[in-house]
Amino acid sequence: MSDTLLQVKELKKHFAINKGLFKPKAYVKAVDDVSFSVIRGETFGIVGESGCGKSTTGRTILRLNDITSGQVIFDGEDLSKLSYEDMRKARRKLQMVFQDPYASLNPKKTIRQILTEPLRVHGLFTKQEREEKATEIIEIVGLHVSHLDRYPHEFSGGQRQRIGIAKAVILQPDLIIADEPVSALDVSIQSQVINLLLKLQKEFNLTYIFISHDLGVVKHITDRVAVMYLGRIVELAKTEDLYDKPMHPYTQALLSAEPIRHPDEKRERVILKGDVPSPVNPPSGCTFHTRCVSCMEICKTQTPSLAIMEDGRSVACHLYN
Amino acid sequence: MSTKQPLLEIRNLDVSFRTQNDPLRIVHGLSLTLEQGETIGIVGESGSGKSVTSLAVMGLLPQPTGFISNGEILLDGRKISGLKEKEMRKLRGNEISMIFQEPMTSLNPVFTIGDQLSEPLKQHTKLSKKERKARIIEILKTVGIPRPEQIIHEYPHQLSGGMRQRIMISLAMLAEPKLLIADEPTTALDVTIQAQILDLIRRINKKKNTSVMLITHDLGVVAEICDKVAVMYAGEIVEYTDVRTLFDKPLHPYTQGLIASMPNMNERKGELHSIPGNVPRPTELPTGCHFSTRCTFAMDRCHKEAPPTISSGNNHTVSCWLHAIEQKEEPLEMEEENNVRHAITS
Ligand SMILES: Nc1ncnc2c1ncn2[C@@H]1O[C@H](COP(=O)(O)OP(=O)(O)OP(=O)(O)O)[C@@H](O)[C@H]1O
Ligand SMILES: Nc1ncnc2c1ncn2[C@@H]1O[C@H](COP(=O)(O)OP(=O)(O)OP(=O)(O)O)[C@@H](O)[C@H]1O
Ligand code: SF4
Ligand SMILES: [Mg+2]
Ligand SMILES: [Mg+2]
Repeated sequence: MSDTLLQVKELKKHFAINKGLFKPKAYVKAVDDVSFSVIRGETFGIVGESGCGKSTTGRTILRLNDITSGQVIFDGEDLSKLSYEDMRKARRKLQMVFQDPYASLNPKKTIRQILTEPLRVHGLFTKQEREEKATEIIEIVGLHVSHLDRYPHEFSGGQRQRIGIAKAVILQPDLIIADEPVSALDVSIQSQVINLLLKLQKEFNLTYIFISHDLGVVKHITDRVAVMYLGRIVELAKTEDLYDKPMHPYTQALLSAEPIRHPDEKRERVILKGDVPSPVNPPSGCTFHTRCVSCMEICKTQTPSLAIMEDGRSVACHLYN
Repeated sequence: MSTKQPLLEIRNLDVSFRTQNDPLRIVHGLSLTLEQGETIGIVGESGSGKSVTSLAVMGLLPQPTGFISNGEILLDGRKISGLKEKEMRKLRGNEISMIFQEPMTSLNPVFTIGDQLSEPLKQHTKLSKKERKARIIEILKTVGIPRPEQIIHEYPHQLSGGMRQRIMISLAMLAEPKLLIADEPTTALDVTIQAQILDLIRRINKKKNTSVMLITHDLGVVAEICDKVAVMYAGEIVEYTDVRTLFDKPLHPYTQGLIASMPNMNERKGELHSIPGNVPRPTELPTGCHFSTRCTFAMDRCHKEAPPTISSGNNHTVSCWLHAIEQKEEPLEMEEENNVRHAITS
């Protein structure tokens, strides 16, 4: 039995939105019944288009917003039941790295303060030891000790992301949820940061949840991938299997839309019609049925459940039930 | 008039910005030509000068700070750099159109889609109100906007990002320009929508023989629709060639590095090829070759003198000392080429 670090069970996060004083409340079903587990030491990817609920899934696991329903079991403990204070303590073991490194670093603090503060907040080490840790980590992420007394604005985007990563790693967490950590970076810097994430994973035995809309990056770095559409997982598979042979019609369309790698590459494209429907009023039945090329009658009325295939992947589609 | 002259020709262009101190040169010595019906990609990382170049062509450099400090731009053989704003306005939306990266900032939030699309037709044609409406609905259909009769009464914020970008494209295409400049037209969009938009640009290019200057930082987008490519680094074109040559035999170490660092070119889960260091800011450009501080092949000379632009045949040019020397010394070329292959296959 592999060692499960995190189990997400039937997680839902619905945001209430006010449509007007006398109108009934409406809900954005940002995450709608999502279940998956993450094995210790692996990199678990979440992909999908803008608004499909990737970030909300990550943030809800960390309880950066309240859980509507469902469970998040981390290392045997149900995070959804923890008090605010206990959750704060638990976060030492679950850290997040954000897309926009600038917004997540306090502009008024030096890098030294930014790095030692999480240790201080969690009451770890003496002041001197905390300083040592900061010195150690800054070099591990490829910056220099002299950078410690500078402020975030003095760094480039790639360097700031290194600092954001250092800030997460310094607590020696078990799990890091990285939400589009390289999406804002230039191509030549992006590969540096991916290499850093790979190196740190080996060095500290980290488990990652890697959230991204970049299919190439996800293919490179992850072991397993969940594909989300309108708040739900439509396919979950080993990375090789998913990219070799996508099964869900949405995954097929998504992968086929990725740009080619060479001008001579020929690709059969499944061009999706229209736009993603609103998560406030998702379509009935299979929420993808309005854009699906294989849509059948049953798809319009019945929600397909995740069925397990021979190779161990799961797919939520009536074609396979 | 000669029979075969390029649609767009940029000769030795410098663009500078006035600052409190000396003017800061942002684009330097940029030359390129674009034939009718051709699609050129301008690739480069953030801050390399792609948008500034396209604004210079459009005559839209921010005033009064931005200006063309050297060189010239010709459209159909006619010099357009230095034209009066009034003249330039006639060209814009008529012979040259531009699609901007962020559609929301270039659509006016207080006017309906229909109003905004009527504007260029009012300015550049003599169509009646009814004819304008018919033309607008027709173009919205061509770009794949559903229920155009209703959409013309809606406002930009009521549409999705992909739809807004399609509105921008219809706006740019209304006057059937000879040159379409698209500045990162798909960067803010999802891949499935990106595929739709690129397909649309490709169709316009084929059907109307429109020339396209496509600005992007994504080599995949270049592979998708460009005939030729200019790779920019820190304000200069470092390599200029047809798209196949760019992918098969890139010569500049920066281009090689970019291609080699695409995740798809690397073994899964392995260490990615990467270019060390950071892109220099315009105020901190190194002397000599601008790439010298990050280049693994840099020699003494690279740190001292700017490299010449070397032609390697077939309209392939590269600005790099390695190739200036190579032309004389055969063995170095062999070694260099092996290195390229190694970088790409490893
Ligand atoms: N605080 C909030 N209040 C209301 N709706 C929200 C809130 N946060 C997110 N949403 C909505 O929930 C849905 C999922 O958003 P989320 O940010 O999780 O998507 P995402 O997959 O991360 O997208 P992206 O790729 O653009 O980052 C969207 O429709 C979004 O508008
Ligand atoms: N109005 C301005 N005043 C001064 N400098 C400017 C101005 N506009 C742009 N620049 C500078 O010119 C350089 C090139 O900018 P440009 O916008 O052309 O880059 P780009 O290649 O389009 O980058 P991106 O991929 O981020 O869009 C940058 O260093 C930028 O800071
Ligand atoms: S369930 Fe039906 S509509 Fe949904 S993806 Fe499968 S075939 Fe398409
Ligand atoms: Mg997100
Ligand atoms: Mg730009």
